[in-house]
Amino acid sequence: MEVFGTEATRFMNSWLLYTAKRYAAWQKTLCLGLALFLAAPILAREVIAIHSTATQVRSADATLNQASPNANSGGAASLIVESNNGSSNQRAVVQFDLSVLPNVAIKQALLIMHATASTTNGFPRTYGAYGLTSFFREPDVTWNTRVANLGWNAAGGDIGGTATATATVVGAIGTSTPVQFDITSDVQNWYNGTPNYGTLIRDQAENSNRDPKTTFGSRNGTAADAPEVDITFVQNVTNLAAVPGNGTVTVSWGYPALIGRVNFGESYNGVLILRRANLPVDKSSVPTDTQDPAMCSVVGTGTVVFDNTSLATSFTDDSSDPCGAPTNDTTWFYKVFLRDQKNYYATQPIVQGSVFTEEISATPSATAANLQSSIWIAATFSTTLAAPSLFPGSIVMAGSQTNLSFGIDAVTGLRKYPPVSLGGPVTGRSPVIDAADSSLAANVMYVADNDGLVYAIATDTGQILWAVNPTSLTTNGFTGAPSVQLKSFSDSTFTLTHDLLVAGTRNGASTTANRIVGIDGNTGATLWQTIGNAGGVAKMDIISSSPAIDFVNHAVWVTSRSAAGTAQPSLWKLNPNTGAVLTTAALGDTDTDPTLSIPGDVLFVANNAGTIFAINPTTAAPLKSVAGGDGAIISFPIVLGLTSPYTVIFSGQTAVHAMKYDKTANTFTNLWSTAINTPSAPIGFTGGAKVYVGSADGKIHELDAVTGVDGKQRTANTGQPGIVGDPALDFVLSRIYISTNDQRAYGFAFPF
Amino acid sequence: MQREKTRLARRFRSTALLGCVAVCLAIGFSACQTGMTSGNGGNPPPVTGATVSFCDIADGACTPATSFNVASLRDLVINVNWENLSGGNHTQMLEVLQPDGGLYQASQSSFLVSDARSSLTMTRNLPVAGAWISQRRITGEWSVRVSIDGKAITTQTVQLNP
Repeated sequence: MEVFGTEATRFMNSWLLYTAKRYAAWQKTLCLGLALFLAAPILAREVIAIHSTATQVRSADATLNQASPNANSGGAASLIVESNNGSSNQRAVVQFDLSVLPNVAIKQALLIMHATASTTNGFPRTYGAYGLTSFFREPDVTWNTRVANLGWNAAGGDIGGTATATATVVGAIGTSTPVQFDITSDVQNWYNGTPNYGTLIRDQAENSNRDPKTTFGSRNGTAADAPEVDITFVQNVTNLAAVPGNGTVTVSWGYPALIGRVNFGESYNGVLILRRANLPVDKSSVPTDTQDPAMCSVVGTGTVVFDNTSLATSFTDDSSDPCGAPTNDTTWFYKVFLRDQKNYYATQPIVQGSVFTEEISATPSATAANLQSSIWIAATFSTTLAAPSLFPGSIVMAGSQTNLSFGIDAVTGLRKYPPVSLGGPVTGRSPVIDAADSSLAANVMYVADNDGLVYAIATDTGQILWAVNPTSLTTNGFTGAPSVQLKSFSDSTFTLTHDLLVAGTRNGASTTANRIVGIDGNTGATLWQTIGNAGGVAKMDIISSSPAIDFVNHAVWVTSRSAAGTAQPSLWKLNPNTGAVLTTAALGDTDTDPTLSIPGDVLFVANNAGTIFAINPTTAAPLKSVAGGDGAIISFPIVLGLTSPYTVIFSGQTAVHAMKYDKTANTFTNLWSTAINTPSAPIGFTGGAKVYVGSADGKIHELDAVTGVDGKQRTANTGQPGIVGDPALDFVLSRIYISTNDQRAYGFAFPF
Repeated sequence: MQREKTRLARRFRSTALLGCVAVCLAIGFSACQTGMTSGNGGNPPPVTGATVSFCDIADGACTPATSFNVASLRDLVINVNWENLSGGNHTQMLEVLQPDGGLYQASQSSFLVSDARSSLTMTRNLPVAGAWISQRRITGEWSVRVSIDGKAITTQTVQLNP
């Protein structure tokens, strides 16, 4: 027994020891696994790998070759990074088409270049990935040039001093080898209002005697070797809406369809909602990832009023709200953060104070007539006060002064695609042309920027079809938008092959040598230039307006300043085929757009002194003028009526005014004036009962077209100064769109 | 036994703490020494700085001013004069902020500085005449915020009067 017992004990001991060892090993493995799990970055919900391809309309790549500084390699099957002391360095630029991710917060972005060959001779080389800071185009880009005839500020690509990320390459490489750069911060910036000009890859120690060189796949080569970016992200909610009641606001939303692969255990499971009175929740007020702020806690300028993890699709904010009910007749702003199971939110680090998280507003009231809500709110990242452009019922296009152009879904307010990155600020109302009417046979928008570039952009995709610098000078910027003479609308007197763009320059340094340019709508080619004080053309001051295309009188009308006097012309009538000056008029400084009556029998021009002119469109001679009496006119007058007498409505400095112009009697008659705080340009339509105007009180005012009575308003943002820009009307959806100086665009239903 | 362990642990922690303090002091002292002796000939490295000035584009001499009348200002010329920039590539971010602090316009500019370059001026023109600033009378104290390579350097105010 003793033996048995001893043996048994020994057996048991050894078994226990074995078991304990196994347990310890298992425990160690478990702990190691747990440690690795905890140590690894826990990433939010969805991941997608985007590979550049030759067919993607918004991707680009090329090699910049210092030895051939003017050679473009945009179509090459490979990209080269080389360090060579014979002024023969090579750098690669890559730009990804992120169209599949229009409304997301970036949590991680890894750029993966696939090296296919390397001659680093066994010495490791460190390559840096830099965010490019200037606009370039793949068909144009070289070591010296970035777009059209414009050079880089620094030859070899405009970049900062520090790489966003670095990676090491060791030769010799025989097979496709991934080289990875963490460019999360750059991609986050692209979604936070910084233009996406792509990434430049260079050797961190250029001018090497050993001539190390690595070849990477390009989007035009083998698909598996094409540049790739792996992005981890959280989407925004969809269909965000707010319905006000008496002391209540019901906010509703949807959950987005998945775009990428789902991370384990990170399903979207609800939303966190911040609320603020009178003003949108500040852009930097966002919850911290992985944390769950308490109900009614304050996050920046917002208060947590809804904290849901059970996939709720609506929230009624009322007297049961422990944080306080929304008081009547106050506009409440709600910012809705989609979240996942680990509390990753639709947010990202704030750069330039910008975010894109979905917002909505509503004003509860005991009086039914005072109930109001926005249809959507969209970020524009900078002040823009031009009327948004639109395809009614489909898309709203808004420019920005951060060099971006936004394509916003007119129904939901979500982006159709990531903003289009341009070379300069956009301040005009860019014309959009339907495919059926355009000589390009595409839905297109023509944009002119403050830095002198003009673009054709496909509004369906955000693809830049062409970009040109028509005057070859960046000092010849454009602040007004171009206008388009459509070939399909023109009669036989219009002899050009395609649609014609006309735009006027704003070179503030010159009061005499500004110019009007005619550009081919299909190719971007400069067809003609009418240059002030040259070739027999009179002196031409700055042009801040958009031209009027006169299909009836076969002309283009342009207004300009006139060096603060009347010695120079300020109204120009041009031949659209040649740019030849047909006639001019000296009306004094004029920054507003000229407006034609619908039949084209009278042209109305409002100058900076506040005088309204009725112009004979045949001779450009003033028929009649009248002092508006309210300072400089804003943006443009609108002209209602199919025949004379016409109703001319315009905004001065303190009020909106309506006058009747009778062509037969050649008389102006005052109809009404309605005081509005620093009004925008008005918008209305022939036969419509209302006129809409933005104000510096943060509201859109709905005026009676006949009496001018300021009947109803809609609140965009009553923050100070809360300036609302020129409105645009969408007759398909019965909506009015405006941009503001709070870096947002808004949609409201009309009539109010 | 437990008390002994605790006492030993306390003694160990005290010793470790003293050791850490000594090491930290040594590092600190070493760092101070390094700081005093680093740089060119004992001088601290020059600090990158920028001054922002404004003028009216119509003023050919570009006389700096801090207050302008919107009614007569064509373009506000913003000059950023950089000093003590290191050689190599740099990116300037220039943000124009409205009187309410909101972002009106932002622009990035990259440039290459040769090693010997001690100062450099970057210029940006902000349209005023015929632009929203004059049309919608966005007047008051504006700010221009300047950063280099992601690091904020300075903010300068300018008064735009009605």
